[in-house]
Amino acid sequence: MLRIKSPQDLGAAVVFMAIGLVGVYFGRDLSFGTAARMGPGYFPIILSWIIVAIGIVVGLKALTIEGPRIEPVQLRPIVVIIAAILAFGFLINAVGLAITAVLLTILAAYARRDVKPIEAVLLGGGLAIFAIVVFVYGLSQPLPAWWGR
Amino acid sequence: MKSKSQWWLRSGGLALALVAGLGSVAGSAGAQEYPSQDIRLVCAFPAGSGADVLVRYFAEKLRPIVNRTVIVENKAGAGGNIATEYVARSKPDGHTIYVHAGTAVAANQSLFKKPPVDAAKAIRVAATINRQPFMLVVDAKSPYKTVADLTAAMKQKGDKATYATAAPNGRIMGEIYKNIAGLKAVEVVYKTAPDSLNELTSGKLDFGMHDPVFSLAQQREGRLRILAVSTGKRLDASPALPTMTEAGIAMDLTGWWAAMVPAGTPRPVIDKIHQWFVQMVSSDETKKFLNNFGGDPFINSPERAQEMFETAIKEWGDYVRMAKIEPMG
Amino acid sequence: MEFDFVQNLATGFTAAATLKNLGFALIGCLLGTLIGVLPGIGPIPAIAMLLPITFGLDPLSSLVMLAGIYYGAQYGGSTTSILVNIPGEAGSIVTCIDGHEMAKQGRAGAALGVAALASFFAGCVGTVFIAAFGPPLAAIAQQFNSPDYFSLMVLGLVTAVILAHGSVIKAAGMVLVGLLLGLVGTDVNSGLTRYTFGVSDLWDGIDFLPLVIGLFGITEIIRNLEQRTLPRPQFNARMRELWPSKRDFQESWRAVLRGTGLGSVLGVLPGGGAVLAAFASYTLEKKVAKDPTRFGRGAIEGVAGPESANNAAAQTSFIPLLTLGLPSNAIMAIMMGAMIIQGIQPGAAVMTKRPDLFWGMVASMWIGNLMLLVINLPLIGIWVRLLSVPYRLLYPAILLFCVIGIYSTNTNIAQLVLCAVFAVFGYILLRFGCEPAPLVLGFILGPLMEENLRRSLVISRGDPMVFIERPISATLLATTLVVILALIVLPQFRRTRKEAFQE
Repeated sequence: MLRIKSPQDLGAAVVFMAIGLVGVYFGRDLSFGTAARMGPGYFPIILSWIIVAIGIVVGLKALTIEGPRIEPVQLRPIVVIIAAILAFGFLINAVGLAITAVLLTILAAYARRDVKPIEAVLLGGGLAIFAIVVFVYGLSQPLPAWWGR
Repeated sequence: MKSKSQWWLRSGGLALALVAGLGSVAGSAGAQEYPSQDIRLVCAFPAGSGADVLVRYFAEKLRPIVNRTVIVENKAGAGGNIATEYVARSKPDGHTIYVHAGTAVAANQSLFKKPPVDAAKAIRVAATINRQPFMLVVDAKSPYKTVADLTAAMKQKGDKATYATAAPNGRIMGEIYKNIAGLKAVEVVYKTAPDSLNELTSGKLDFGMHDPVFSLAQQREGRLRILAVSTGKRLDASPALPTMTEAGIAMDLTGWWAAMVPAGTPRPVIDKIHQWFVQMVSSDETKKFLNNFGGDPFINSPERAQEMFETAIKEWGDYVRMAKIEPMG
Repeated sequence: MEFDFVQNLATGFTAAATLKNLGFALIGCLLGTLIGVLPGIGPIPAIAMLLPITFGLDPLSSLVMLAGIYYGAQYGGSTTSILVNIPGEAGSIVTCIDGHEMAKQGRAGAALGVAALASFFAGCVGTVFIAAFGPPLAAIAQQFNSPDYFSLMVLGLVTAVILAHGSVIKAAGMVLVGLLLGLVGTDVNSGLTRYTFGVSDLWDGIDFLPLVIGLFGITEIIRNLEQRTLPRPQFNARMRELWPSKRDFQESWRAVLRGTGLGSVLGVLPGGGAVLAAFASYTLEKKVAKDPTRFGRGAIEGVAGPESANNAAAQTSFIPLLTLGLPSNAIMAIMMGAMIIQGIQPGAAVMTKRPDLFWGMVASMWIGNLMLLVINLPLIGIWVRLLSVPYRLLYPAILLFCVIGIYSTNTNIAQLVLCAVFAVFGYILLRFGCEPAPLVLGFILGPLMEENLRRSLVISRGDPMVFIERPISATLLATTLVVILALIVLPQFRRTRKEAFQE
C-alpha cells in the first residue's frame, strides 16, 4: 500500500499534472508545424508534456521522500476576500467608487471572526473619501465616483 | 444595551445616507448643455504604450478648450476590439470619444472572425487627426538605393529573401509588394518594429515594412534607409520620400487616426467635437507633434471622414484576403 | 576623448541643476513615490498617470521631472514590496522575498534604508556608465540577434530555478507553468488564439498586474488572515532601528557592487533586462553567501543586491534610447513618447545637436536618484510607523488600493476576475509548498523565448546549429550548462547522497 510521505508534494504533483494535461488538451487544435516553421502549438504542447512529466516526478518524490504536511484550509478568509474583489468589480460601474469602497471594506472586515462593524464602516468611509480625492479628482482616473455616471 | 446588528444597521444606514446625499448633489450638477460631464478619451492600448502617450497628449490639449476634466480610459485588448465594443455600446452623448486609427477599426472587421460590432453601423467618425504611411526600409549599409534595386535583388534571391513586419499595415504592405513584384520572400513577424533592428542591420533581413516613427528615427540615426512610403501621395512632413506607386508598385495604404463616437450621437455634438479637434490639429504645436510621429495633420469634414471610414472597411477586407491573413479568434 | 565625459557631465549638471529644475525633480520624485507606494500601482501606471503634468514645461524641466517620477515610482514600488509583499513591477518581485521577511522581523527600516542607499549607489555608477560607456555598450547590444536572446532567456530561466529555496524540481515546474501562462493569448505569427477559452479579454494575454497582485499580494493577505493572531511586527520608534546597522552595511556592500555590475550590463539589453538583472543578482548572492539558508528568511543581501541591480539597470536602460533612439522596454517607450512630445527626437543626433539637453538628461537622472534619497530616508520612519497600524485596519486599505490600481489601468472587470483567479491559485500553491517567484519570471520570459526561438529557426531556415554558431549565443548556452551542473546537479547529488547515507 502506497504511503503518502509528503502530502504537499503530492498536491503539487497533482497541480502540475492537471495544468500540463489542460495544456495538452486545449492545445490539440493548434497546428504543430515543424521545428523550422513552428506552428502555434509546437512550443505550448511540448511545454505541457514536460510539465506533466515534472508532475509525475514530483508525485514519485511525494511517495518516497518525507515532506511537510498540508496546513488546514480555512474557508472564511479566502472566500470573503475573493467575494470582496469580485463585488468591487461587478459593482464599480453601477454604483461608483464611493459605495463600492465602503462595501469592500465592510465585506473584507468579515474575513475575521472578531469583526467590529462600526469600525469597518468608518474605515470604509475614510478610505472611500481618500480614494476619491486621490484617484478621481487628483489623478483623473477613469473611475466613476458616484452612480449613473 | 443595543444589539450588535442594530448598531450595524444604524451606522450602515447613516453612512449610506451620507453617501447618497453627496452623490445626488454631485450627480445632478447639470444634464443639458454639452459637454455637461467629464469627457473620456478611450484608448485601445495599455497605459504607457506609445499610442497611449498620443491619446494623453490630446487629452491635455482638449482640457483647456472644453474647460472640463478630460480622462483617458485604457481599454486594451483583443487588438482594439474591446475598446471598439465599449465605445459602440456607450451612451451616444459625446462624452465618450474613441481616439484610435480609423483604419485599424475598419481593418479589424476583416482581421477577426467575429468582430464585436458592425463598425459601419455602430461607429461614427467625428474628426480625423493625422495621416500616416508605412515605410519600406533597408539596412543603410545595403546597396539598394531605390525600390527597383531592391526588387531586382529580391527576385534573384527568391525564397531565400527574408523581410520583417510588425503590424497588420506592414504585413499587408508586404503582401501587396510581393504580389505586384512577383517575389517569394519569407516574412518574419515581430511584435514591435525595434525588435527587428538588430537583424536588419546584421544582414539577416533584407528589408522591412515598418511604422513611420521607427523608420524615420532609424533613418535619422543612419542605420536604416527608407526606400518608399505606402501612401498614394508624398507626405508633407517628409517630401523627399518617394511613394511605392511612383516606384511602380501601385498602392495607397494610409493609416489615419480619428476621433470617433458611437452611432446615434446627435449631429450638433459631432460638429462640436469636430471643431475641437480641428482647432487642436491646426495648431502649429500639434502639427509639429504629428510630424514628429511621422505623419501629416489630416482634416476632413465628418461626412467625408465617414465616407473614408466605410471605404476603408471594404478596402481592408480586400487587402486582408489578398494578403491571405488568417482572421484571428 | 575619454575624459570628455567629465566635461560633458559638467555641461549637463549646469543645465540641469538649476533651482527650478531641482524643484521639479523634487516634486516629480515625491509624486512618483507617493503614487508608486500605493499597492497595485507600479511604475508604469504611475508614470502614465503623472505624465500630463510634465507637458506644459520646457523640455529639460519636463525630462527632469519625469526622471524624478520614474525613480520615485520605482522606489515606491520597492517600498510596497518590502512592506506588504506586493511587487509594483517585475524587478521588485525579488525584493519581496527577503525584504518582506525583514519587515516581518521588525527590520523594515533596515530593508528600506539599504534599498534606498543601494539604489543610490547603483544610480551613481549607472550614470557614470551612461556617460562613459554608453555608445560602446549600445554597440554590443546591437549585436544581439534572435538566437542570442533565446539563449539569454534560457540562462535567465535557469537562474529563476536556482533562486528557489525549496525543491529544485518544483521550482522548475513553476517556471514552466509560468512559461505556459505567458503563452495565453494571440499567437503573433498565425493570429490564432491560444488557451483563451473563448474569452476575448484574454486575446492579448494575461496582464502582468492582476497576475502578480493576485499571486503575491492577495495571497499574502489571505495567509495573514488565517493566523490566529494578526501579524504585528515589532515596532521600535528609536532612530537606530530605522537605519541599517553597521552589520547590515558590512553584509551588503559586496552585494551592492555585484548587483550594480549585473544591472549595468543587463539593463542595456532590450526587453526584460532589468528583470533578469534582479533575478540574477539574487541567485548570485544566494550562491556566493556563506550561509545560503538565510535567504528567504530576511537576508539583507537579498535586498541589497537586487535593488542595486534594478536601479543600475533602470539607468542603463536609457542607453539604447538616448544613443540609438530605441526604447528597450515599456517605460522607455513612455519616455520616448514624452520626449517626442517635447520635440526631442531621441538618438545620436541629440547628443551632437543639443548636448545641453542630452547631458542635462543624464545629469537629471543622477539628480533624480539624489532626490530619491533625500525624500525617502526621512519617509522610512513614516512607512515603518505605518506598519504598526493594526493589521485589521491595514488589510482592507491594501485590498482596496490593489483593486483600484488594477481597475484603473484597464477598466475591465475581467482584470479583477483574473486577479481573483490568481489569488486562489496562489493560495493553492502556498498550501502545496510551491513558490510563485519563478513562475513570474517564466511568465515574463515565456513569450519572448518562444518568439525568439521561432524567429531564429525561420531566419536560419530550420538550422538549429545557429544557436551554437553565433558566438554570443554559444557563450550564453555554455554558461547555462555550467550553471546547471555546478549549481543544480552537483548539490543535488551531494544532498541525495547525504540522505541516502543517513538512511
